[in-house]
Amino acid sequence: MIFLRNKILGYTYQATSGGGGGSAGSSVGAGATGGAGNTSTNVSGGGGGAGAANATTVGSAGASPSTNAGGAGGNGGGGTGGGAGATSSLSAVAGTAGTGGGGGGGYYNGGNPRSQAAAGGSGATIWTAGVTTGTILTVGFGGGGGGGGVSNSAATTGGASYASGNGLYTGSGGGGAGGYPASGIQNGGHGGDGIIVVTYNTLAPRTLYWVGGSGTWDTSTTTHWSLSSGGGGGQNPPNIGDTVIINGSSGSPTITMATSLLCASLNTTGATCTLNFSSGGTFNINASLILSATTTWTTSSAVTLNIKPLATTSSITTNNIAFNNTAINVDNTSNTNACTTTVTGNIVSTNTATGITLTGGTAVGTKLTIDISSGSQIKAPSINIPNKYLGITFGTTGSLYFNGAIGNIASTIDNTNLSYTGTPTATVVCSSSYSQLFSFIGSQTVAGFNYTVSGTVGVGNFIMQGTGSFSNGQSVNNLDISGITAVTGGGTINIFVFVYGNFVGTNASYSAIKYGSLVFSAPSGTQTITSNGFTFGQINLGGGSTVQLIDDLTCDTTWFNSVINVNSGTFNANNKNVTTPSFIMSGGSTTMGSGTWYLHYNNPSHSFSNSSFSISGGTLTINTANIIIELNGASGDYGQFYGGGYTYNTLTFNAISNINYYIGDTNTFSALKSSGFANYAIYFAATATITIGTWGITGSAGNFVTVTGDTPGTPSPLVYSGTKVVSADYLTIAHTTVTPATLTWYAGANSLNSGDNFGWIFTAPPSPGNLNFLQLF
Amino acid sequence: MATKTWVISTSGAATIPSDFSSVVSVECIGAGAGGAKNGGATAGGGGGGGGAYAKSVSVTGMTAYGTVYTNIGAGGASATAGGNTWFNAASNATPTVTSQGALAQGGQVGGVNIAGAGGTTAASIGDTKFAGGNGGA
Repeated sequence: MIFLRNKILGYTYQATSGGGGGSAGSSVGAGATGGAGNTSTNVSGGGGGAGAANATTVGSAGASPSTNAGGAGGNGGGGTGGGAGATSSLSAVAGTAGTGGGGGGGYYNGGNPRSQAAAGGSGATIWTAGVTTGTILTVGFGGGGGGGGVSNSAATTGGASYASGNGLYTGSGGGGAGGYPASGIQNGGHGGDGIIVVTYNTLAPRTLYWVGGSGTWDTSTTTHWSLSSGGGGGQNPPNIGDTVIINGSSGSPTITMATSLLCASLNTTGATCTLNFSSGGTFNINASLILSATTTWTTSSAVTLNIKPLATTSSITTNNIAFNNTAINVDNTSNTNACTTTVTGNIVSTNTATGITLTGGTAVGTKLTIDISSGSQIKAPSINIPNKYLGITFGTTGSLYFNGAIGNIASTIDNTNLSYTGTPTATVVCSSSYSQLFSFIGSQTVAGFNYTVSGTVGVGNFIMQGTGSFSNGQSVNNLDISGITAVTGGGTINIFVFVYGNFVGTNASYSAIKYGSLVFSAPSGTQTITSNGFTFGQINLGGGSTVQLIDDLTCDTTWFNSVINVNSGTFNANNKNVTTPSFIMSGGSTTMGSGTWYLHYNNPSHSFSNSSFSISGGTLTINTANIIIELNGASGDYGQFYGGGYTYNTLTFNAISNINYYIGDTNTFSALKSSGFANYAIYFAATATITIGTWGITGSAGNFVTVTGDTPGTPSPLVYSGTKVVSADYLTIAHTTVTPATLTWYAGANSLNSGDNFGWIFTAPPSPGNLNFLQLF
Repeated sequence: MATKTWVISTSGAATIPSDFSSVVSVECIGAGAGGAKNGGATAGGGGGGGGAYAKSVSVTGMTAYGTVYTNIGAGGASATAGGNTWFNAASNATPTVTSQGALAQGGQVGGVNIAGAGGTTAASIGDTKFAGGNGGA
């Protein structure tokens, strides 16, 4: 039986000043109201589109244009009101999908911008092509009327009466175009397409037994189908409602499978049989698939196995047979029920093109839950999870297994409506012969999978990222790539993920730039980083946890975006050495420990725009850590230090090029030193006061170091807090004022005074004995 | 035995569902016409006519996995009539009797200040038929 809704919904109007095209939606059988005329210019609106006829009524005529109305759209059948009419200078709002037509634009009698009528809204999605057992509503909608034109803007065409987005249209007429006072001809709206609905009675479900040994399963051969085990043949082949049993009475058959087959369930328990998909094709099952261990699944060309449940439960029992060259789709989009599919044994696809796709339902109420808690693996080169309502019950031993050893990993996992319980585990085996690309869509607020990655990465790279390159897209719990034993052929490891657990790197070496971004996001607790020599791209702290180093940490010194970025939580270097082009803290806390912090950037071909060290918020515990800044960037780069007002141990500028350095805020250093040999400058901010216990900045013959303030006329203050004197040489000094101003700051005999200096003594310091004498005065 | 509905929205040969037992009805809705263009300065275009409806309950010759033929009337663009929608269980041609299927005429296009006429029952084939609505003008 087909159910047709023929209630005609009334129009609604909203009078506004000025005449715009009004329109109204309707159900099937009613036409849309035409566009209104422009009263000021006497312009006609377009006629409303007519409604299609339906099962019980003649279609209603479209209404004639009204006047003085930028009318609101009426109720579309099954939808809501259309777009409102415009007033004043605002343009009308088009109806949206599932609504009646949009209202026309009101006329604004003076000034610009002139208003415009809006297009009619699209109709509701009313039918889904294909077979369904649900009620079908022939909900339609009228096309929007065209708007009246105004003096300097064109009238809007009549609104379309079809839903352009879903390719499924109805037979309502399109709205006519509104008049236009100056010139120009506008098109009317598009009519809706026709449609056919066939209502039919279905066959009663059968249980069919395969009998008579080997043969062909197609849509016409009746020889091998019986209503009883071992009985006589002669039944029509299975349809989508039938259960098929191949058992010990079937004669150990080799069954040649046709290219398009279906049944409700297939059970080969007790049978020794071969399902031979010699021509490939598609096999649809809508309840359960149970295969004996002595079932052989053979293919000569690619096969697609669709398991599309229609009830609340289904099952897949594989006895670990391999679905050679078969793309497997578990898909609940045809189900009107939420469904749990229980898996026993592994689902293994060796199809290198599409692998396995897990497609949930279309809404919460039709969610598909795949239960692999019995310990099943879902194993394929590619496991794709599109954006549907899907749950996976992992239990403690179920897992996903990305078998890149037999093909490209090209998996797309959409997290938007994905949920899981238990311990979600994914094993990834890389291969140098194939690419490994995980593309994640949407973000999660839960921990995510535990990934264990092994194998050899080749030229195809190992990549985990969100949609688009270099974006974070996936939450992982623990990520362990220590099993990657080699990176060959110029391959790389690029990982952009949110980490809620621990990270373990690999010691596999390669020379390419190490991109990637790990955002440590756990709200509390401790997360650890075990580098194993792995070189990172970016390390970000965005949660509330303590991120603690297990061994020395290195971020790529050749990538200009490499950084350790602490926004929240705690970064605990744990007395390990840290090497990174940049360390930035804006919140949270950092414990530097006793290691050396080597802030090193080395890529003269690309500018380095970050600060080498920047503390703008949070709490810094320095401990005994020393800092070395070494920059070998492009011309014009600066190695910048913003210490946030803390008291540091030794800061050393290691000059290996002519790149300059800069201290931008007030800080105290037990020692400030330079090393290396190059002509370079150290700038001090005029707004900061730098206090130094030991001055160790000095140049050499031919390699002068410039010490200068950053603002001519406003000398930068430098304060010596040590117990001796400042002793240097081969400096070029400008724009600084030093204290104590007497008998303390000795620039050396070879240093140059470039002016704007106060307190420097441009000689070598006196011998200790003379110094003590002089200091008495 | 249950009843199902099979919605067809594309033209051409179609395979009858495997669980098909017997037909209850075949219903067609013709395509709507496009709205007319305006007349320039002061004259609006008429709305397009709606498609007709035709239903046949006497179609014969359908079996599971069999083939039927369909034509989905295309909705008219501006100033263009809607196409006829038809179903034929016997051959790839417009049906001539209700035992073959059904046909619903598309809506007609109007003009400047002239409404488009709806698809008519006279030009449709079915045991039950209704005309489409006329456009506004």
